[in-house]
Amino acid sequence: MLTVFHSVLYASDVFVFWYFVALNAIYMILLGIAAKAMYEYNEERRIERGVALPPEFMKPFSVIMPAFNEELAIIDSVTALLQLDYPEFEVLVCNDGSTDKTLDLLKEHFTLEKVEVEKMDRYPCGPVKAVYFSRKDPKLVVIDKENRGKPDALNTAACFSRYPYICSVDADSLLARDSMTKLMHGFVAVPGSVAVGGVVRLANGAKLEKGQIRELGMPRNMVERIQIVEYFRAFLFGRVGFSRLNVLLIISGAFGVFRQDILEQIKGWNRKAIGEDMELVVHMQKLVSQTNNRLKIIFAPDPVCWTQAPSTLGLLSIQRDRWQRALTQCLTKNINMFFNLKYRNIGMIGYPYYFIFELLGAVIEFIGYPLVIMSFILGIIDLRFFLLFIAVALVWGLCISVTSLTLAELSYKRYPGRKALWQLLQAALYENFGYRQLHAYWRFKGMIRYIFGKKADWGEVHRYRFEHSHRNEGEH
Amino acid sequence: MTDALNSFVESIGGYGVFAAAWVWAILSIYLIVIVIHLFNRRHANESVRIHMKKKTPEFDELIEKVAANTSDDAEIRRVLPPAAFPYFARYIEHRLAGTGNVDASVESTIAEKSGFADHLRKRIQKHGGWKRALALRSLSYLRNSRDIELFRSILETDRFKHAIFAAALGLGLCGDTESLEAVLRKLYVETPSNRDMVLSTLLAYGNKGADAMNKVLASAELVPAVQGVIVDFLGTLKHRPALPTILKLLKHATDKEAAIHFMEALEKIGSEKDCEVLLPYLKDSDFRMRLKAINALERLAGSRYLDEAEQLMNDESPWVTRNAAEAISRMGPDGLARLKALAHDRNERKRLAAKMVIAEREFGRIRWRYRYANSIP
Repeated sequence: MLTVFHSVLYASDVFVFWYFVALNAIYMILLGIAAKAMYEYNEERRIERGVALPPEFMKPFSVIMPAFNEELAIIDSVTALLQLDYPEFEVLVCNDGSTDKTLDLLKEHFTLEKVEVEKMDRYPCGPVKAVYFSRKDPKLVVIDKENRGKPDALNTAACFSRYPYICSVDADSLLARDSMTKLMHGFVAVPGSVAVGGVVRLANGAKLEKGQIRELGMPRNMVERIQIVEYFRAFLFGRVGFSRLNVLLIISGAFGVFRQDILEQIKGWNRKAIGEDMELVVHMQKLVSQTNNRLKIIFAPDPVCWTQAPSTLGLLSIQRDRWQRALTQCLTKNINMFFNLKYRNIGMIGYPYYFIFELLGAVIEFIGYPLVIMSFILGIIDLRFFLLFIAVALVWGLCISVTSLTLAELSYKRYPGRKALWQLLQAALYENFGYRQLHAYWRFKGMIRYIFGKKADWGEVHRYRFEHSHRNEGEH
Repeated sequence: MTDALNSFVESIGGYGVFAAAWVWAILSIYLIVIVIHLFNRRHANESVRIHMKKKTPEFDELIEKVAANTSDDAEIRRVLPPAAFPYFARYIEHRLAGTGNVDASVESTIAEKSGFADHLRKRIQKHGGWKRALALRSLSYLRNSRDIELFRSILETDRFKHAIFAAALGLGLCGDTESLEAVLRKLYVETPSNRDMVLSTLLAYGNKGADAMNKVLASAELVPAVQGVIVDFLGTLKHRPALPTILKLLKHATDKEAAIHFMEALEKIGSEKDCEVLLPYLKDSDFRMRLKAINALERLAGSRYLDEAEQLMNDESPWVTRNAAEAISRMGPDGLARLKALAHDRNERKRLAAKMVIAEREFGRIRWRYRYANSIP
């Protein structure tokens, strides 16, 4: 009996080991693809420098921003949006029944006035309480409605949009002034693009001046620094690589542009989804896969959106728990895509990757680490196997994190100085030896919570005021 | 059974165990190399920034002196030695980028006398791929007619999309209108470029290219996509001699995408007497045609087509409804009065669109495209 137990344990150890080999091998392949893509992207930008379409040919867009209790960041976020360097766009903020001063602040700061207009029901959404136009900036519209969740707020704002492209942005995010020019260029550079995602980076530690990031400082908190490395990895090689393979399954809700005719076809954001952003892209991919690669969903590694990240482990665990529940819901709902040739690359590569490594990976990693340690203690695996596991699961992971930092060196706006580089290297070390295991636990917990019914709980979300540079404080 | 399982997993695990030392060694070496590379990359980035900061005022001063004829060849070579070529390349990239009418004669003189231009020409001949494409683009900034033959030969022989694009830009910036047809053929037919990039490239030719392009449009058998790009180009430059050709193309258009571009160009360069050709499109099954047609009619004939615009406010497409309402709002006092009446209409579509556009006008929320249209002479 004991021998059978040992054999099963040993077999599990070997399985976990090969799981990490496969995961990190995929990461290495993606890194290679992304490094090439980023190099080419930068060279292409240099060649295209100064070559621009006349303004009347630049595709206009509507930015939609759902806001629920965002009083601390809303003015900075909207100000940054209104300053975008682009010939034609509008900003639609949907106040999703905030209980704080979000609406009052908007009214006061942007001189809003109520207007007698009605909604055109182009997307499914709840009733609207009031619509406000701004006397200060004609580009701004604020819609006030009862609290019905983020997807409903997105759909409501989309009903009022008047341009053929829609950009969704989170209310705790700041867009760099040139970000939309770069993001919209995706529709020019890749014919047939129906959605373009951009890079989301952490605003923690950064200083603001006139609604723009002026100084990029390293946050003092290790939790935030680890997330910087994590975001670099996720955005600079994960999404760039997946985009090159045409299997992108997620565009961050914080920053993405969609063609409105496609959005209308899939009836906007799913109001029952926990992760409405992933659900939307999965639906779009289903549609796109039927067009014989004529249409594409792409990711541009240059346009940047700055967002606030949780600064404590407690808040981070809530966020990651929610993300895992969203992933579980989306993937289980679309299980018919799993190795389904009908959906081409997305069915054969994209979906299986997310299902095996992002969804089931949470279980494997959560159980895998203690299992291997226990096997080592019980003498089921020898020291060489144990060391090999450490090398493959952790040191290889560290190599990948550090490599993604080199990709960040090719990207826009870097953390200045060598000290910052050392701090990021340190964060990469902590990320792989400690944080990653904790993250596996949060993901596992999120999955279990989804299975046992805690589906739509958003949990606690903390917002912070963006840090302003001294000059700007004086101006205020 | 247990023995078989044991030996099976031993065999799988065994290979891994045997490789432990190798894996550790490889990963450690990789880690060290990548960290060194990371710091080197940071150093290189910083170094470029520092050098550019130092060199930019020197280049500025040199350009001033050469323009004023107070500099000799020795000084040019002193300020711009071969080691400074990469910085000069970046400098002109910032200074001369843009496809507008820029005088690059001083920079071109400096590039010739310092050997920078020859250095680029050698790179173009010696290398391929990205290196060639970047060198071609740098050379194109100088707008030197001496390089036309080089650009033409690259356009004909190279197969790398970005090198072809850079060569086409070079020809455009040098004003080589003879190569227009070849550029179009290469960029659109032989290389999978998209229409916006082709249009951007054509714009490098500026007004010089308009006559030649009009001839190409009138004479050559072109695919509708190419016709659309040429018409966009001519419309952007408001090249009125192209009007008869555009009207003819629109009248016989079978491709809807191309027809959209013909209507947009007509809106820019046509007049009230050209409206007839647009009327059938108000009843087209494609909503984009109806939308473009009403925009163009309003632009060309003001309130003459007020009733047609009102009919379109009951269109099944919300995009057409809104555009029709906006068109009516621009049709002077008659249009505004009609729109105000429509804001109380029983028909929901008409009422919603009218109310929205009236409110938008009051707050200055006018779509930019029409502000642009208003500025057309």
